[in-house]
Amino acid sequence: MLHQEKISVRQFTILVFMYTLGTSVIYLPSLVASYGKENGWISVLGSSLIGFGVVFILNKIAQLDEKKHLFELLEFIFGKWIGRIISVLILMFVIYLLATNLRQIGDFITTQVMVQTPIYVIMIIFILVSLFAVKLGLEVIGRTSEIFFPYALFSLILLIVLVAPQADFSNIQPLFRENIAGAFLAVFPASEVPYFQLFVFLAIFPSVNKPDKAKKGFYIGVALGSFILFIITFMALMVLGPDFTARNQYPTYILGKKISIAEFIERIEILVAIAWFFSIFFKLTINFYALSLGVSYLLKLKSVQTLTTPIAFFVVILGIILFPNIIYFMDFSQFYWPFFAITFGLFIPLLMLLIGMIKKRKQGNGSQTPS
Amino acid sequence: MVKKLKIVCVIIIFILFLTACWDANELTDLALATALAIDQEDDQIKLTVQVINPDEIAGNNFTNRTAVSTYSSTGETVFEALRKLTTIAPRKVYLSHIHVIVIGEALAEAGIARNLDFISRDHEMRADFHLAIARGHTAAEAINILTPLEKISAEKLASSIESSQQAWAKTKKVSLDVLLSSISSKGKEAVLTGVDIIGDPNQGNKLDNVEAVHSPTFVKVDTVGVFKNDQLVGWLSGDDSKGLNYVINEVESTVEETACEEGDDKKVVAEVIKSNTKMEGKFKNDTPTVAIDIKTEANIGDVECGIDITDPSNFEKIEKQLGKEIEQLIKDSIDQAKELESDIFGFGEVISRSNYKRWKEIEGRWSDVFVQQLQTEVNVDVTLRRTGTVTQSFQKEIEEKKKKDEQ
Amino acid sequence: MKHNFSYLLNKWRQKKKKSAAVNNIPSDQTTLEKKLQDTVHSVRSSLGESSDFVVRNFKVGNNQTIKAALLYMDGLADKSFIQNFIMETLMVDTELEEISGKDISNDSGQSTSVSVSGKQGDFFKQFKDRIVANSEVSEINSYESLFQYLLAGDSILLLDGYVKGFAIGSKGYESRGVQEPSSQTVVRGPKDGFSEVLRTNTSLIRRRIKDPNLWVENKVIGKKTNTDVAICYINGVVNEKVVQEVKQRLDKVDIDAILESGYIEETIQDETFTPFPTIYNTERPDTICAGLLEGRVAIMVDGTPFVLLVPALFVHFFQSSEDYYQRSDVGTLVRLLRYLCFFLALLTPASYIALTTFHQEMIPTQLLVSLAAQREGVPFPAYVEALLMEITFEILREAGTRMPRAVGNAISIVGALVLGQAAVEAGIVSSAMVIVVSLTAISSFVSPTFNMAISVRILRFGFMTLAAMFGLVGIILGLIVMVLHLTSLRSFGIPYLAPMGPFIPSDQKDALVRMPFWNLRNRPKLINQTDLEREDTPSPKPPSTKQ
Repeated sequence: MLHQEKISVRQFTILVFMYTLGTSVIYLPSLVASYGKENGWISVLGSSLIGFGVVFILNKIAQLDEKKHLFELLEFIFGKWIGRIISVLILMFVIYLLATNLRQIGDFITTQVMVQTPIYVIMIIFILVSLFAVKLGLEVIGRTSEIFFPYALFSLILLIVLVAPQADFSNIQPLFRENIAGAFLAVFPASEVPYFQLFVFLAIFPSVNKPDKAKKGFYIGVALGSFILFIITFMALMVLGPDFTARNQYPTYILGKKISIAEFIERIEILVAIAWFFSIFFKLTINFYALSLGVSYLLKLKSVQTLTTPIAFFVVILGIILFPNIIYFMDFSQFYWPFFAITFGLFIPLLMLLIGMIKKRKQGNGSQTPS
Repeated sequence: MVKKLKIVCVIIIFILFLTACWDANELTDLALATALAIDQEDDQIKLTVQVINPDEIAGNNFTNRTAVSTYSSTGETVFEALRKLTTIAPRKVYLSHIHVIVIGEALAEAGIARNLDFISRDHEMRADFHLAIARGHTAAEAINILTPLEKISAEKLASSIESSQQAWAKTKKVSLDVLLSSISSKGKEAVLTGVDIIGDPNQGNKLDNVEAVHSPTFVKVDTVGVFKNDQLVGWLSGDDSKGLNYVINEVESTVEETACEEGDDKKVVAEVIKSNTKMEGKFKNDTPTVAIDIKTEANIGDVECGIDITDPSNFEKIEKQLGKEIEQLIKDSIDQAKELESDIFGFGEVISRSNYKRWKEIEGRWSDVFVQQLQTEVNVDVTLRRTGTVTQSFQKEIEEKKKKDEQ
Repeated sequence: MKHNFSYLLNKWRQKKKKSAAVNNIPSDQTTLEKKLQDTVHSVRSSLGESSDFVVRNFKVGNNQTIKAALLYMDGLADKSFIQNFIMETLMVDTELEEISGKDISNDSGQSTSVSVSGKQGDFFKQFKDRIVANSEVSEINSYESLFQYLLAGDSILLLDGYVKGFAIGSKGYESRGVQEPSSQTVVRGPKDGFSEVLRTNTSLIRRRIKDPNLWVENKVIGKKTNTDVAICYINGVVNEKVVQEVKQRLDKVDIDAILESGYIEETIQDETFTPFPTIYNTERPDTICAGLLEGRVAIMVDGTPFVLLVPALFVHFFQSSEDYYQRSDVGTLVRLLRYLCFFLALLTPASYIALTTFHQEMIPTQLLVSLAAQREGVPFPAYVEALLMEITFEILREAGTRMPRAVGNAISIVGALVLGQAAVEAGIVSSAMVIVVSLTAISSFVSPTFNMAISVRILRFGFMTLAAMFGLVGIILGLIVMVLHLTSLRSFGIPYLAPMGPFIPSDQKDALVRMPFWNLRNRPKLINQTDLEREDTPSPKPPSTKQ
């Protein structure tokens, strides 16, 4: 068995929360503001509804067999060969996710914090830390998330509270003035990043000690995460204004720069960046773990940890060669990425659920008739 | 276990060799910039940067060098000029601690948009500095003036911009994001704080300037430059700036005065402690109209005549008179803005918020509409709260005494 | 490398036998000689004619017929006890005829004299039951047990013609009495501390917990030192698994010498390559008792006042027994202060390096200017400067600890003057750095346990290096790695960061904070899994003043 380790429901919830914040917390305001201007926050609300939908589907899939992880489920639902092919595709998608996350954090640090440091160095040190975590196993990752959760939550709430005095309602007034279509259109790109990637949690779902409560935890994690995302977007729009929010690459970081209480509590935006480091670290690590789990399952390795080191270095190189520059990356994530995201994040899970239900009903009938 | 240790050792060595401390800058390798001045010189940009000489400010042994020094260079763009500075500045110029960016009047008249992008893009720049325009002089001269109380003259400039807005309301502090959003907004024009130099600028950058009890040359902040798009088109006087601040709800505290009696030159002075403005746009018979509703709280700060302020009716009278004074200020300010054809109050945005459809119709010719059609309804409501440490002024007794003496 | 215990033991015995043959020492299992002088001779030669070995030959019995010898180690045995209670009874008070007479009557007239043949057991029994008037008497019949008792300070009584002897408890060696512990001092709380004698230590615990369920199990560890090690726990409260684990690990210890409990600590801890201690040690009986009552296991080692307590979690190293003697709000505040100081001691120099070399924008301008002014003329980069100062400080501290007390003052004067004053005036270090280093030092002294303070000292240098390479990013990544490592640690099966990761809501009452006693209803959940309820004191409700 590849998943003997057990994590608690609370740890699972926190991991979902961290994953939801993940990279989004610093990019999302800019994304939705560029589509929907001052109505951007509506897109965030809409996307969180989609998020709940995704969680509903994923929970249903997990219910098919609570002891099986994602890749076992795929094999169970689609049969051995098709299941494996889909597994390989999903693994490629996860590798891509991992490389992108790494690249994003590299880009952030080399544009905002450490400009002269080569990006590969940042990527290597981050993947090394993540590698260390995956090597130590899921239990350790879960417990570590419990340690960092209060800080991440506290610093984000602190950010919101400290910039609140500068909020100007007129920046988002009046409602639905224009760009309503844009705001609704932005629901999909806004849900791509956090929500259409949640399916990787199917890989660690069987490791939760109380599967029935884990479903509730899944909802709570996503709800808390999307609530924070919503508030941050709302604040960014009100404090920075829709134009400035859309123009900035990292509006949340700029929001941190705006903190100035009594000319004493200021210049503390790095604390926001630190909270973001934590959330992206967990996103990175969960993707990494799911990837190693899938690889070791498909190759029938004894342990999840066997191939982690080569994967880590592969991902660093992939992250560097995937995108030649940041504009290419933006263009890619705006126009091509949605198709991937919807295919893997929505379409495949839906397909899994449908076929799985049919299969299960058939099996159920089969087992019921003799009795 | 030994294998694990080996791996850890390899990683540590790996990391040690990887690093070259790319971004590490020792404090002794940095020149802390506190102010930037951007001027136009012929077709080129002249950039002047004021850097701190830390030893002179906080060191143990003072010499007679100045606490700050400036370096200038010219280039096609701000960025180029900044990089050229490395050829003359002894250390790497570090921009995160900039307090003020001063723009030369000539450059402001020609348009500032093209120079602002670098400022908003560079990662070292923080968004917490003030922007200002040097009125009648070059920007470089403005940051060259030495000031006696604050050794870092840029800090003096920043704090006087701030305190004059806070306590006097006759200027307006402007930060980068406010400037950028009002330049790019269709229903609002930008303003920038104006900086005057009183005295001889050449005298002001010498140590003699701060050695005298009364510095012969100093910097004064009491005007506001009005922009149309990104070009400077004129100036508001101090009182007009105050009107502007009333309208855009940025008065924190100021002083208002009114005559004791009609035509009397003796005044009652009130200290405004709180002011709250609400603007509402509407179309009255197709005329775009903005209703400005101001609620002001004030304390009596000075009574020059013998008026009996313990009398509630007098109190009310003063309140009304003060309201009228403020109303007049605002009206003058709006007239001035109309003269300059620049909607610095953001009336356009107010109207767009209330009636977006109609706004879309007039958006294209807003500046004409603003000048020709826009009506404003100003309503000021002043409430006096306290009278300071005394109630009745001793002026009354003096007047009575005088009267007796005359008799 | 998995040897089971019996295999180890056999191997050990074989080894011992071999060496015994070489040295011509009677092997352990051999029984004593029949002739008294032979036995005494071989004991003497085994001990290499050691000068502290004393043999007193004498004769007992009515007719002074039976030759006897009393063997003891000078200095280990209580001389006056031997004089008053052993020799006197044997030589003066006893009428051996009585025994003989009874012997005769019991044996229905087979023999009238105390004979060598046949009735050894009976005579011996009589001798033991009637004559040797001491509380601790045991029979010995092999050299192994003889040496065991002899070297522990007991007296050995040998009778000619018997292959058996007596070991009479006469331990009486010089030892330090119960004194105030030198580490972990408290303002309020008991002032007695453990001493080097195991028995004293167990008595200190027994005196506090008068419960039959307080069990003490002894083990002898150390091939050469044969040190007594006692495992102490409260049956029914303790987690059985932990006790089993402790016993198992202790059984596996195969070491020459146990000179201090540190030897045990290092041989039974969960993870060797970690800077963090996973076993708690203290000189304070009250701390040990509190630990026992939480369901933990104490390991006491003869010869050291430091008693071990397992399992030891991260939070335990931030708790002082005084937290429970002061009011709970004071205890909570002080505890939070300790955590703050932990991070200060860990990160202050690293943050200083990161802020001044990477993130100058985070420092307010005025402060930055004065820092810059101080650094003008300092020839080293901030990292090297910090490293120099920290290392100098560590040297000073080490010198202060090891030097005689009288010299300690001189060292602190030299340290304060040389470091604080001269170095700054000479412009070698900046005065801000002196402040940083002093803050770090003071913070590290706040830790109530010495071994946690040491681990902070080690990690601090790592964080400084990370900060010099990657600034705050490096510090954060270092923190993540540190927490990952901490969460992966276990102390005797219990996750090291227990009440926080995994998060246990009910245990939060006595982790970061200290709730009032009436609120601390349960023992810690993970450590103790059986008898959870600790108390049922109602919260104090003063009678209302209104009548």
